[in-house]
Amino acid sequence: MVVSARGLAAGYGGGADIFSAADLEVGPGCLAGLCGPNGTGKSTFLKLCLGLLRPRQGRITVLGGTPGSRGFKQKLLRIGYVPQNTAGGLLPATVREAVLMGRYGAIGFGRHPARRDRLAADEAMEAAGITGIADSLVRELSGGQTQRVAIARALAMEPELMLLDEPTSNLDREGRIELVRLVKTLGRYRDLTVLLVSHNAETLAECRPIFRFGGGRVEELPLFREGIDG
Amino acid sequence: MVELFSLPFFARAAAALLATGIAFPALGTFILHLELIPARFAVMHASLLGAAAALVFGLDPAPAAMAAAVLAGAAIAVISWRGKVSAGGSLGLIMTLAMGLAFIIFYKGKIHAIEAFNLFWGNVLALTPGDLRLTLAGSGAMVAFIALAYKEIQIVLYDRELAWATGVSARAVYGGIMLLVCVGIAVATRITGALMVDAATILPALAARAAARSFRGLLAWGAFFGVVMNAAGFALAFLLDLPVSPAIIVVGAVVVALARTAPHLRARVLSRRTGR
Repeated sequence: MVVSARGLAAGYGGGADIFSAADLEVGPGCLAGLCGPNGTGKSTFLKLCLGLLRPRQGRITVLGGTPGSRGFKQKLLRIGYVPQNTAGGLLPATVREAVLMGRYGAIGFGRHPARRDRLAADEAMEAAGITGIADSLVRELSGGQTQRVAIARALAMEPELMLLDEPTSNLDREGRIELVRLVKTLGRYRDLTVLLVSHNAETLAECRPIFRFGGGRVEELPLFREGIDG
Repeated sequence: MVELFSLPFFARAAAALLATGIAFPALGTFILHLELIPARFAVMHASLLGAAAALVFGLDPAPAAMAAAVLAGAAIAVISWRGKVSAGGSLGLIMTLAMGLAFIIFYKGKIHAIEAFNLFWGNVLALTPGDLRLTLAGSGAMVAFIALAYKEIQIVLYDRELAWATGVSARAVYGGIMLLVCVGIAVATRITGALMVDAATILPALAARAAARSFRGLLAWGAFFGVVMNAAGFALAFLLDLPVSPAIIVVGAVVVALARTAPHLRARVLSRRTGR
């Protein structure tokens, strides 16, 4: 399994658990959807996958490692993450620079990006359809374009697993269809596994399996499981 | 004016202003982008506590103030990293606690508060050779750190969470930045005085923000504006018989205003021309 969680519970500070006793498995090459009302733990689950948050109970493994553990940094280099807020603050950066940032962890401390890194960034920009705005400043882009930059940055890492937190929220219908098509194509060619948080039914319809977050629980939607089995 | 450079105190002042003009605006960029403005005040108050403690034991207050600044910086780095925000409440606690303890020490140690506060009235013309060495070392360390960790600093300033998620040692880089900010504040305090540290750090960074289109540009423009502000302020102070730090601040404020209005003026001129 690429992502496996058993009896997982999570929360922030002294607050109650956002969810508990969550069991979840995602195999290689899957495009898994995470859905449910706001505040039910979808983004929190992605943070657990990255080690940005420690579970209160249970165990989670991602790409065979435990997020937050000492050796997990190497695994992070194989995970592309697109956060919900992709604006990148006030620091001026061109699209090209912002996409290249996806390679920084792999390049290593004190080293400069090599030709291979620049090529990977160029390919990612092309895949995300933003080559034409490569020299524009990220802070001057629209919400949809900024999201594409974030997706390109994740792709530039040449990941095995992508965690996309509502990547279609700022896209129009065509943009959403295009993005899902892109992710599915990459999944096929690169054996990429994707965890995608979305509220959009059309986007979720492309996902197998789908996990619904809500009421402090996480459940796999049976309708889709039957669909696959059938 | 050239013969003034043969005077040791004047040459030391000029060298310190040149070094800090180049290096310290980067600190301003860090402070602005990581929302460390409240942290900067907390560090200053903690260094007052360090100075007070040193005076009780008859020690040199300057190194003690710097050590306290670094310790406070470490605490702030932990608090603000966890919060992913400027951690205003915790910083307020550090700030007021440090001041409270410092005044207890003044009272119980029978120290005149003015002795400790003297540290905070910096004077670039009163720098000792030791102060200059410390300033040059601090400035050199900043430039070296930025050169070595350029891309890591860039992504941490861009988005800390993203930096972590891409496998960058974001927490270590953030700690390094905090350490530099603390050392920088302590050094700048000797030069400009605590209340005018912004003259060396934030004003040139603000001007650079208006002109730059990349992180590299922010650093380069910051260094340019830093040197211009320091040199012009220093010259103005001598020509008009003004104190140096306030003169640098006044020049800095004018430069920031010009840098911010210049793009708007340029756009207006261009639109008028195209309108014709």
